[in-house]
Amino acid sequence: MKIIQLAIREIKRKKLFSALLFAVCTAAMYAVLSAVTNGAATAYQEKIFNENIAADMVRVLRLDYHTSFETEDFAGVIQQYLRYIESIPGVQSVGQFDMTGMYFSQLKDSEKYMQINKNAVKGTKYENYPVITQLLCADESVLKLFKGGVGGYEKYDEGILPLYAGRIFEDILPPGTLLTDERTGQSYKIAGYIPQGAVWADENDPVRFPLISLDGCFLSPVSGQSRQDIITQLSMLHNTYIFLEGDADVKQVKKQVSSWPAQHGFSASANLLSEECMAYRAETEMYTQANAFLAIFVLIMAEVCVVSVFMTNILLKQKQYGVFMAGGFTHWDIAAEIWAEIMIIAAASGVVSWTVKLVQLKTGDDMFKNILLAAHLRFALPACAGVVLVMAAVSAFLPAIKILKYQPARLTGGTSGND
Amino acid sequence: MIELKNICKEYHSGGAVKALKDVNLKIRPGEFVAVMGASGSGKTTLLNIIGCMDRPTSGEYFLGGCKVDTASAGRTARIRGKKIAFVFQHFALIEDYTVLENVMIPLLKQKIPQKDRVKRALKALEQVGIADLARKKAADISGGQKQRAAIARATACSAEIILADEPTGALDSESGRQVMDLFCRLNKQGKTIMLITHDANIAAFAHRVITISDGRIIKYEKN
Repeated sequence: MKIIQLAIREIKRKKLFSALLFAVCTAAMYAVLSAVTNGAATAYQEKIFNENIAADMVRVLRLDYHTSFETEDFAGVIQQYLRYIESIPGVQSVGQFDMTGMYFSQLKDSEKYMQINKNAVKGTKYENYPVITQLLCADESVLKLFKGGVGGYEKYDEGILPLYAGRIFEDILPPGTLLTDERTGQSYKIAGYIPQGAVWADENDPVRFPLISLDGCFLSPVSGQSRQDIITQLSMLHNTYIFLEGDADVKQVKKQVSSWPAQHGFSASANLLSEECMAYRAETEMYTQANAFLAIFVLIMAEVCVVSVFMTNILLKQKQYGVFMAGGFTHWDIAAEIWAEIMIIAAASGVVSWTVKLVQLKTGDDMFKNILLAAHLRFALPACAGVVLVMAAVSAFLPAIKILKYQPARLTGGTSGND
Repeated sequence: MIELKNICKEYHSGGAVKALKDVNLKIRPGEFVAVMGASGSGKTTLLNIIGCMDRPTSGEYFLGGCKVDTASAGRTARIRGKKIAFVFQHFALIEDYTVLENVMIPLLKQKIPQKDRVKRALKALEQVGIADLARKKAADISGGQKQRAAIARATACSAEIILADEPTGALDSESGRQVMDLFCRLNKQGKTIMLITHDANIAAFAHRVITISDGRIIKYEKN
């Protein structure tokens, strides 16, 4: 305790030096925390994806659509293309999905609905539009992509599509409730509810983008109208999944999937989900390594700075340390005081940089916000504590060695020769 | 009882230098000893070895019957903290500490409440007549006052032995006399005092004067 009090007093005595060291340590710590948070976030994102994916990733291809001469009947061409893919030997099924914002006529004036939906869309692009309903239109075959969701649709005809609502709407939308899409006039009937905690892929990229929660969403089959709508079809083309048989020749399927479009004025290919995951890992590894390299470099620079300042301090404070040792302090007490001084500065800078990063993440509108926040809270805090300990230990090592080498008499300046 | 037997001290800075050669010395409890000698004769080295601030190269050192020349660094630190107090050449006060904080330094390692530390330090300052300067920075007081503060620091911890290295060297004659009066008073209270000086008038205050030359004790004189 006395050692810590002494360390605090020393920090207060050298206000300017302490402030400079604090600034240097904070910059280094911030670089380290950013590297840890970003690195952990990508790993965490991958972990969450792996935990939630239900399909065998080496048996699922995702269509990658490149260019087209979008003619008026292109929606029809896409339908032909999907039928062709389904006919390729080794293909079990093909399915698509589309996430869209829409208005249900019966809900747009419902205060209760908007109240619930407002909470559901908090932090999303629909935050200020609680009247908009988020609808996931998905073919039955793609429902098996992720765990924990709706397993299949009840039988339906195109006139009234079955609609599955998030559990949060259960109280205001009992089974059988009829709803109408205000724009298209398509009718829906509540057929069930999406289990709490179910997730789905982001429509931009299932692997690189965070999975989205379906708790505040609705789910229905793709309507006939949507299949004829060129805009919807183009959007869904990116979210087309091809499920393969166990003994399918993946290479051959991929070849056929990409050869048909070439004959019909557009270009597309397909990649296994496992390949996309590997590509993502390679990208993030490179980014994480670059971040880590930068953070380590800044940390080493900060260490050099702290060690230099403390080594100079020891030379300047030799007499003071000698006086303390004459008063009964040991070499180790002095070394511990130096360590405590560095530790306090490093810990304070760790807390500040961690908090700054937390506030930045919380107030920012990064689409990876939740993943980054989770990574920051779970991994950056222990990493921060580790860096503080290592930083203090490394920084205190050389000054402590210097102190331990001296007899107390040498420090008070009493003997350097023979007096 | 301080007892040195055949103490030698060698330094290796740019060649071996023998600072002390076969020094034999006994100092009884309550004795007041002055050490005289030319610059570089080994006076401070002797004081540092007696004060456990340095180790002899060879020979034996007994303090209160216990062998301390081979004691661990931790044990010698404890001995310094409990039994020995120092008054350094040029005061050795920490300039940006207050006088009170300086006096409290040897009390920091003692297991006493902070309140008592302050009390004891103030009492020591009272004894040397500068209690009113307790809250002043050491840098802001005069040389005489600094030496009194240094003596207060030496007395605050109730050590049995006080070792002073030229305590009047940086003072005018009036301040020097006042400081010596303080040492005499402490000696009367039962403290063992060993003091280094160049000044025969200062040495005259001691019971015994030891003269060192070239690392050897060449003269023992009683006053």
